[in-house]
Amino acid sequence: MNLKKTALVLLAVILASSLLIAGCTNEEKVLEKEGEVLENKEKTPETITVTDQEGREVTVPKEINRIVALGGPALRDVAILGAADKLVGTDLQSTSGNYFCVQAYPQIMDLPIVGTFNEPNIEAILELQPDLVLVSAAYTNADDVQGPTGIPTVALMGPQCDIRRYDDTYESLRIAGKLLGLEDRAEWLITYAEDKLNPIREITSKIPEEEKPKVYALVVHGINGTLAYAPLEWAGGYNVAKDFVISQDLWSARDIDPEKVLEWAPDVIIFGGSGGSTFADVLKAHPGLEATKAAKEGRIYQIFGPNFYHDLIQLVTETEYLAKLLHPDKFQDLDVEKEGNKMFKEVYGVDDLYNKVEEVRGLELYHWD
Amino acid sequence: MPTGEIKLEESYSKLIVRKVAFILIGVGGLVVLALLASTLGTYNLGVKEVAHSVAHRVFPFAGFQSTEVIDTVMWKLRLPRIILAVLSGAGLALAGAVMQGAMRNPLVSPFTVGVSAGAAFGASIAIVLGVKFIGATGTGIIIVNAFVFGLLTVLVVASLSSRKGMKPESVILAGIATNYFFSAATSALQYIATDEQLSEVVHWTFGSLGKATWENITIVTIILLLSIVPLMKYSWDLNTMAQGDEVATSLGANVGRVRGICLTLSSLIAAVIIAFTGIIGFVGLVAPHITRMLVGTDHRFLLPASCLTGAILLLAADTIGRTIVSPIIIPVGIIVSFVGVPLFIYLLLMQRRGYWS
Repeated sequence: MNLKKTALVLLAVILASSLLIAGCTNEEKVLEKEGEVLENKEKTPETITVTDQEGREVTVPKEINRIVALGGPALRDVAILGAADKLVGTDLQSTSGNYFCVQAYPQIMDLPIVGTFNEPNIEAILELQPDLVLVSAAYTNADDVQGPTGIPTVALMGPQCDIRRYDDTYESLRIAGKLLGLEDRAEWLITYAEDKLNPIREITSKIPEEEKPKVYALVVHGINGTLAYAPLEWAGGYNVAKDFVISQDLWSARDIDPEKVLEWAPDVIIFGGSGGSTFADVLKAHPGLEATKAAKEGRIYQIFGPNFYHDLIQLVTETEYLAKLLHPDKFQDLDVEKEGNKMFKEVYGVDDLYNKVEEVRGLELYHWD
Repeated sequence: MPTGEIKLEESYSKLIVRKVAFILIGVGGLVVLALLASTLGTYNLGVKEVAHSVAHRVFPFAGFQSTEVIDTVMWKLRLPRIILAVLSGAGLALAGAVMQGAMRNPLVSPFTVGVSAGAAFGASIAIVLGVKFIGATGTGIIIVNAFVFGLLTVLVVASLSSRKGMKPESVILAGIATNYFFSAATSALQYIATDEQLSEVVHWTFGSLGKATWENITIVTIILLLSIVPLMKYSWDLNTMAQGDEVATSLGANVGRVRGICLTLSSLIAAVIIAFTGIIGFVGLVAPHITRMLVGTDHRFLLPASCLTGAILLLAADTIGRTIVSPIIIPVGIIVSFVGVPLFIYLLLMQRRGYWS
């Protein structure tokens, strides 16, 4: 008995000490690498300080040549500013061809992977030796990356499709612009978007609430809070889910009782998401909808939608799309598809991006021809 | 006849009468609950409007009036939902009772052999990877995937344990293995998923009655009816198997075959229900226990009574789930445990003698 006990205690001690030793060795390796990074920083003494969207103050080198973008929001900001060629790594989900910016800059699909959209792999990031790491504030805490790596990490919110948070989109672009020395480009983008949105908003803001068509945003694959879809507001649609007593942030369309939708009696139903769903599929998946005025008049339309892959320019073109669908008399001369392709061309430099992404995502948007 | 025997016969008859009475009361209770549930909901309908809507479809020539919207609410939303709740509750409870009897183990449920893990995996590969079977479209994709992979786990477990003579321990251990495997596979898919794919997968696992359409109900009903008949026939065999495999065999039960068929049919029922509703736990495991405490362990009464318990439980849970924070629907899989556990604990504390075996 004694021998057994002694053997077990000895085994436990050996195991425990070997774990401790292993832990110490890893730390040393990380410290070594941190030392390398610090050395690099000293060679480029010029720095700037920004306040990121987590409220942190971060000091970054003025010259940025190697960027790691974690999460779609951060990636999109880099890409839309035209700095995609400086990317050296990104997360797994951001290499998806469903993104407008990935279709515009296909080299993103071949970037080294440094983790998933909400879980970065610190070692992988360190290996790439970036000058700057951009994380998406919604998914990752910047300090979780900056702490172990010592690399300046900035948290961005990226494009926001929720109208109550839309201003964060511009703020995010401005910060990214400042970091990359592309402030002019950032301002240009903001002005560009506003110039396209303002004429529409001016017309729709004059429409009295009672005359706005009642729209139900059936964002089937939507994320919570997406019921307050900005383009819908701007396009002069009356979002029936506005009347929620309970906070809109907790629910998405799939939690809503179909009986309530019948009570709201929407004139139009828009459904977004990951595509592959037709008019008939939507009706089949949501018993009860066929009795709405929207279904009977065939006014169920697919949209790009407030999903994982939404893009700033998408929000603009979607506003035009919805405006023409909801108020055809006021936007008779608007060629949504042509304008959409034109906008993407002016921002990303790529032809037919509107059609391309529609195809890639398997969507069936409404076409007016 | 000696007086002792007469007394025994009398008290046995009384017992049977009590059990039958219990079942009849249960049926009555279920009907009342269903009627009540049909009048409750987000869309404000009075009892009269509900009655008229039902009547004018059932008795078209009697001149009842109703509007299209009310008809949609009743016939497309509420009634199918109520019926699916009853069918799912009954099916899962029946499957659970049969599994517990066939495995001679109070801790098994229809999900023990891995049906729920397999179904969740099937749903996940549809949502995250877009993998589907040819011909399936729209919501059918997830449904077919969940069903096929749910049954796949049964095949795996059945083939593994038949090599070991279909002993209860082998079945349960094989089930544990499949459960862990498919759970891990599902987690791996969740790991690489996008934000909203992830939320869709998780939402599917909550268990909801949102897909209640007459088409889906018909499928569930057919499978349920096809399975109920053979299972009820095995009531006596299940009774004898409770005494042990050797005793049961000596009394003429083909233990291996009964166990195999019970396993297959329970899993079939569970798979077809999960395919449409997602994972609804608790009912399959606990409804049979609640029933045992009230009706005893004679499977001739336990099986039908379990169906009633499960149906009442799930219908009550769903009705609460869709009215309590209307217009938000809380998935029934979440509510059913909140509703059932207090009841179960109450009965557990109240019962005077052991009810298992």
